[in-house]
Amino acid sequence: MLNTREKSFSLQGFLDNLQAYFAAKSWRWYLTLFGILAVMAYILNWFVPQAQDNPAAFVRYTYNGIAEGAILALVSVGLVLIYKATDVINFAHGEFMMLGAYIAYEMLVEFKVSFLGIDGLGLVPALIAAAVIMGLLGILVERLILRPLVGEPVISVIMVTIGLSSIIHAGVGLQWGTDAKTWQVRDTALADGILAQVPEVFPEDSEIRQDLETGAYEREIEGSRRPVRFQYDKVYIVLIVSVVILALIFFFKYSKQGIAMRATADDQQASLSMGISVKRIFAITWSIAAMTAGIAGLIVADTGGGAKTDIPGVGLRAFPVIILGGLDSIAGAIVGGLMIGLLEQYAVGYIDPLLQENFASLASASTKNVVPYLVLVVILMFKPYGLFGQKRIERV
Amino acid sequence: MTDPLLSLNNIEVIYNRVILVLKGLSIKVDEGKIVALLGANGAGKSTTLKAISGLLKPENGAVTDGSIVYKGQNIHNSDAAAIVRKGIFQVMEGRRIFEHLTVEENLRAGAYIQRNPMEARRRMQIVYEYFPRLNERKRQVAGFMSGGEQQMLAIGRALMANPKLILLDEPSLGLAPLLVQEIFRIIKRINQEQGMTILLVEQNANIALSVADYAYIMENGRVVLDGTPQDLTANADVREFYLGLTDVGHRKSYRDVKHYKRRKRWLS
Ligand SMILES: Nc1ncnc2c1ncn2[C@@H]1O[C@H](COP(=O)(O)OP(=O)(O)O)[C@@H](O)[C@H]1O
Ligand SMILES: [Mg+2]
Repeated sequence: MLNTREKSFSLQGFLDNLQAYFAAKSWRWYLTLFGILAVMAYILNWFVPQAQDNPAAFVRYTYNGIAEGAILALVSVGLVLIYKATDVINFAHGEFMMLGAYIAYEMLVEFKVSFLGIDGLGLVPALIAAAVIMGLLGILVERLILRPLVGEPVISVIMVTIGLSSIIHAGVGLQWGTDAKTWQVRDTALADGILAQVPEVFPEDSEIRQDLETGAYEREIEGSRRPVRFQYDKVYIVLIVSVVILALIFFFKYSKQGIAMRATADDQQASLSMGISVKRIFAITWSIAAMTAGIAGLIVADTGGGAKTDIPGVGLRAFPVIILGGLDSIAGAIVGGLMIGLLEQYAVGYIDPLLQENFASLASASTKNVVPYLVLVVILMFKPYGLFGQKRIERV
Repeated sequence: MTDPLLSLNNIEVIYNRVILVLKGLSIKVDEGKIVALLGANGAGKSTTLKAISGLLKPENGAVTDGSIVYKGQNIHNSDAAAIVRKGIFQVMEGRRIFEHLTVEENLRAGAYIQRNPMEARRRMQIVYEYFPRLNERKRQVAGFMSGGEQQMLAIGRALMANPKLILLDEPSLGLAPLLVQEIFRIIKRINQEQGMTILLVEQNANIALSVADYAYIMENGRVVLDGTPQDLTANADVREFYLGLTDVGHRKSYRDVKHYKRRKRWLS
């Protein structure tokens, strides 16, 4: 058993207990937790337009935080997978994301893909294409760049990933230039048809009225009444990330290769002794990591102004996540991603206005990028390996 | 006489290109038998098993001379995965179970080379028949289990691959005597009922000789003595230094001198 019993209350003891508690939970538990959060956000969404003031604001920040956190979680899971399997931190991860975004751009704008005959659903095939191409690219990177380095010090491999990130950056610049490549598919999507009838989830102002004849929700904007739209893009983020993480959980829990991957992360030599090909495991790891990064990049581009060369910056935001969650814990990446996402949004919602109102010199203060690091530092003081990170199980 | 299932002929193993650990070691393992390889700590027993299973490479070791012949085939150039697929499975020293995986996932990892999922499931039932305790704990995270249960799991993992030859490295390590007996009874049963050949490495010579059909004693990278358990238990040196028995009747002073010399030979 884990040695978690402590007489008096201490934060260390509390966190140890928390960790033992979470470590004992199955993947299904995390899944349920995630699902409940998503559903809660969705339901709250639905009812809040009528509510006034702060409760709605809180729900809005929470909702945005979960959506942002879901993206961070997806990015972080890939980093953790690579770290678990190979002890390498992949500094080209943000560039993998960027590639996913450009693949989506090519599919949507150059190839004009559609789905079920609806142009607006082109995102579905674009997402699949990004996942498949990035998956293959991950295998290629492992084969050509990392496999020759097996046995070299980890630090040289990390340097190589930094080099790789520059190469991808340069290649993207040559191919697509430095201007953002945007797409506008969702304006013609289902939104106009079905979702236009649904109230905007968290309106910036609360002037929402229901038209008693048509039942449609409307609000006044600049003197005229307009239908309000449901901000479904955030729901779709949570949906896609949930599906991807669900697929990963099933893969790691039930498939032969997935179990072999976890076994290899636990004890490489022992897994060699049962005929597991560690080379193949590394290739699959890089493939999955690149795939999830590509999907995350697509989502970032779709919700944030298209494919552009500053997407890798989002990848950088994943580093506090994996350090918070524990470098080698997938559950930690998910929980850490959600935590950082929420913290960022609460910082935007509560801390920034406070500073701006009370201190003239801080009129444009933004604490979004500071608060997560502050929390990180505090948590690392008590849990140096992150919330869930710990290589060894200690039996007592 | 039929050819042995496995033979090591004068093999030499070097670590890091300089440390010579096995210095011309030869052993034979006949099909269907339990062969014990005994010796003090550091004699090179584990190195011998790793040479057979192809696990030297990750430790920067290599077979530099001699041959390892399995079913008439030279295998010392094959990689570890190929050797497992040929039917040789090593249960490494210290159990080496996957701590963060459940018992059942550990077993499934053991069945990695099984292409047919139905066969893997069937083999899992066989494992649970030998080790009912694993069945009771199949959803438990393996790292939290007791040492004995972990050893059972390590052996169960080998059964999952349905090997012809199991290389067992010190299954008694760190276990209580009663548990050691239980595990060795099961090892014997697996050998007899499943027809699996076992090459057993042990420091606990007593228990190893109780199940073995033939045994080698090694020292400093070489075999110094071999024979049936009956032969070996009759040997005065073996009795004293490996089985912990002392023959009565020697004069004390003479014994002390001889003891010193023999001890030097056995343990240096
Ligand atoms: N990876 C390694 N690198 C260098 N020397 C090693 C390595 N593994 C074992 N040795 C050395 O080889 C000798 C035999 O070790 P080993 O085969 O583990 O012995 P045993 O299993 O009989 O206790 C020891 O002296 C040990 O120090
Ligand atoms: Mg040993």
